[in-house]
Amino acid sequence: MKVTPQLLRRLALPIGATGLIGFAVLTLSPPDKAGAAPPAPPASAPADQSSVVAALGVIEPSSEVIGVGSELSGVVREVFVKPGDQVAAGAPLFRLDGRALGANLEAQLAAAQQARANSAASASRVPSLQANAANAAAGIAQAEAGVTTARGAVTQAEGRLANTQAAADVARLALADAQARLGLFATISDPRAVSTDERDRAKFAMERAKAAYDQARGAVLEAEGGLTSARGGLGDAQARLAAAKAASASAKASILEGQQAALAAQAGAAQAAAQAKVVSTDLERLIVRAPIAGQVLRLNIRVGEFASAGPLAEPLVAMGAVTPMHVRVQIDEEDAARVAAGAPAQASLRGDASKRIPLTFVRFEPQAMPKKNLNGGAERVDTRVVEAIYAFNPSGIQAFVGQQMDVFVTAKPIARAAASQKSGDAK
Amino acid sequence: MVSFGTQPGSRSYLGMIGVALKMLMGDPVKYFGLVFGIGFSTLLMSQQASIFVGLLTWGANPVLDVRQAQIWVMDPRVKQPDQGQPISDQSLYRVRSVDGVAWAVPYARSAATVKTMQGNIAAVTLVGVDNQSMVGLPEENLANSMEAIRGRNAAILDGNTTHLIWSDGRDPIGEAVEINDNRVVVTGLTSSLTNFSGLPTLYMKYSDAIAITPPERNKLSFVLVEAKPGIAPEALAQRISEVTGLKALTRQQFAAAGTQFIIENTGIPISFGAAIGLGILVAVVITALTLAMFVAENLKNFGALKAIGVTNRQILVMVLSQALLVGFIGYGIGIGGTAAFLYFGQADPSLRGFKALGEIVGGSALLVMVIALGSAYVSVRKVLKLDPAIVFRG
Repeated sequence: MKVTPQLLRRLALPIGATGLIGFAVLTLSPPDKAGAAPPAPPASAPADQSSVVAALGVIEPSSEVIGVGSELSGVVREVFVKPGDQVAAGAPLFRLDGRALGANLEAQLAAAQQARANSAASASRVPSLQANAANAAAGIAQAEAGVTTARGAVTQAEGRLANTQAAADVARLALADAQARLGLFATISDPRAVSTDERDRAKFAMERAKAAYDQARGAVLEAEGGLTSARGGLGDAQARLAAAKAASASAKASILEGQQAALAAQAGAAQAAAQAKVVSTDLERLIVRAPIAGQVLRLNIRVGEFASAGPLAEPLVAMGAVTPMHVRVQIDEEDAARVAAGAPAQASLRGDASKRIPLTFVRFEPQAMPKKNLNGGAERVDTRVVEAIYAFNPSGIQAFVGQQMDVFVTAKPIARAAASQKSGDAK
Repeated sequence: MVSFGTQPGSRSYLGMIGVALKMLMGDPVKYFGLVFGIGFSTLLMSQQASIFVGLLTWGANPVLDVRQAQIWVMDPRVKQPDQGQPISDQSLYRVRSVDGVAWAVPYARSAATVKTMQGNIAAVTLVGVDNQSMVGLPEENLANSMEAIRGRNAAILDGNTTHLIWSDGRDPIGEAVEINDNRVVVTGLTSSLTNFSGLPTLYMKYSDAIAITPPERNKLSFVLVEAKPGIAPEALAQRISEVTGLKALTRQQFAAAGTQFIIENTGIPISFGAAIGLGILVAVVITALTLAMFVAENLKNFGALKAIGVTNRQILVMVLSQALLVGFIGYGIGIGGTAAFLYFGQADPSLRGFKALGEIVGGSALLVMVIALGSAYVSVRKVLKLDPAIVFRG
């Protein structure tokens, strides 16, 4: 068949159609592709373990994080450590301002000294008081002797009074006799019956008797005066005795008082000394020291900042023992039964799933906790986790406290759990 | 001209076909009518079918986009990938603890609203991929994406849909946007498959994605799982469902579920079914009518051929070859149109999700052939019954 323009025209459409079909076949979309490799290795179970329990782990120091607190509040004057420092137990971490307490200590020391002096003075006063008391006791004896003497004088005066009264009685009788005799002469009306001489004699006798009587009476009065005076002397003596006794009692009381004062002063001295010691202890407490040997993980206090005593949301210094490191592994309570105590585990750090870190079992936390979600920020309590503590040696691994790990714990196979769940569903 | 009768066999058939094709091309009106009728209906059928299938795949594309994982684990109520029913974060560890799981990573998928510096607001699908493995990032431009997404609140944007956020056609790399009062910087572009929602997809690290979405009890949408070598994904999905009580589907199962969701919940099957049915109807009607007219007009010529001894069988071959030719050309034009529509349409982001599928290319070829040959057979029956004497009577 010859190739003519007419033939070409006739063939144009079929050839064009063939080309279009070819185009359609060539531009077919590629089929759906599957099975690409993950862009980066994901955290994966160890290939040699057929059954694992996967869990989130958080790195912590083997001592857990210790938020070191200050016992006193104050402004920080000195910080002795840097984050990352290894410190020994008891090493100073930071020091608070101590000027006020230092001044206070001096004042307290002075007060203690003064109290000690007071105590010595009080103690020295006691002997003189005791001497006073002895004097007062001697005064009592003297007064008692005076009383005895006065009593003797009273007795003597009473005797003299009795004597004079007896003599007065005699004189009164003699006077009555003389008066009676004179009376006899008076009754005789005839003056001549009685001689004047006789009468006068009787009269004189009567007057003599009267004088004797008066004298006797005077003696009685005098004796009575003597008695009264003796009695007054006794009263005086007794009053002096009472006074002496009172003085003695007062002296004794002042001894007691003096002794008490001495004791009080002594106690005061002891108190002042103790006070001074309290202040010096406080001065010592201004220096905050490391409770254990470990690493300073975080320093939230700088020179010049105020450090508050008491629990804080952000501890002033966070530290912990980092060799070995611990991992707190949060195992879902539903999977917890599959994990035996002591089960080996492997972990990988976020960001480097290819490097597996072998973990050794330390212990289970005895209390299951609500899961705290660390990814989303907010705490969610929809499930509970059993926490297992695992340890690893941090040397050669750049692992930081607080970092998350993907942990795979070797566990019992799940077959039984699946079977039991099936039976549970059947019910 | 080839002599008839003397050399019966294939050669004579070829000759008859040559005559038939000359007859056909000698009548350009009908020739082009047939060709373009079939071409148009092929275009209608194949293009509508492509769009239909494309739309259905959009429902599966969020799953198909993640090529690195074999199994998707989700809340039992989830029916399709864009349905957010987050599960507890702890589910990740429960899934990882199932025997046979090589690895499992979190994957968050949620709707979010983006505010641009220019004051625009756009809805996006926010995807959070595992910080460590980045499983879930599209394969395109992967090395760059992995680098770009590492920063804090850095996001990778589907480069095909940036016009939905910035209509001025600017380069979105380096643009800062606001999502739920958080500043997010677009640091890279990738290409993800079109999804049914049509929203731009923004990829972030899982930790960032859940940090910037509003507070919610749970935020983990899916756990993506790879089976250990030698373990069938279907069996492992089954086991994960049994152990954890969550729904675990293989990639294919979940993709099919996404498609099924669209079929069950939208009017797409009916509307596109109608369009495809109309295409078939047009093809049948135009082809059958035009062929019948062509045959009827050439009835005398066929009669003459019969009169000079051409067998019915040869005539049948003649008509069928005519039908096949117009079918072939028409199909070529139609399928070529569809292919061009899909191929050049890729430049337009809204058409990007439609695929040229071999099934549609082959299926419409088969359909066109059946229609053409069927129409030819129906048309030619009159000729077969024709009495050659008619030539002399007329």
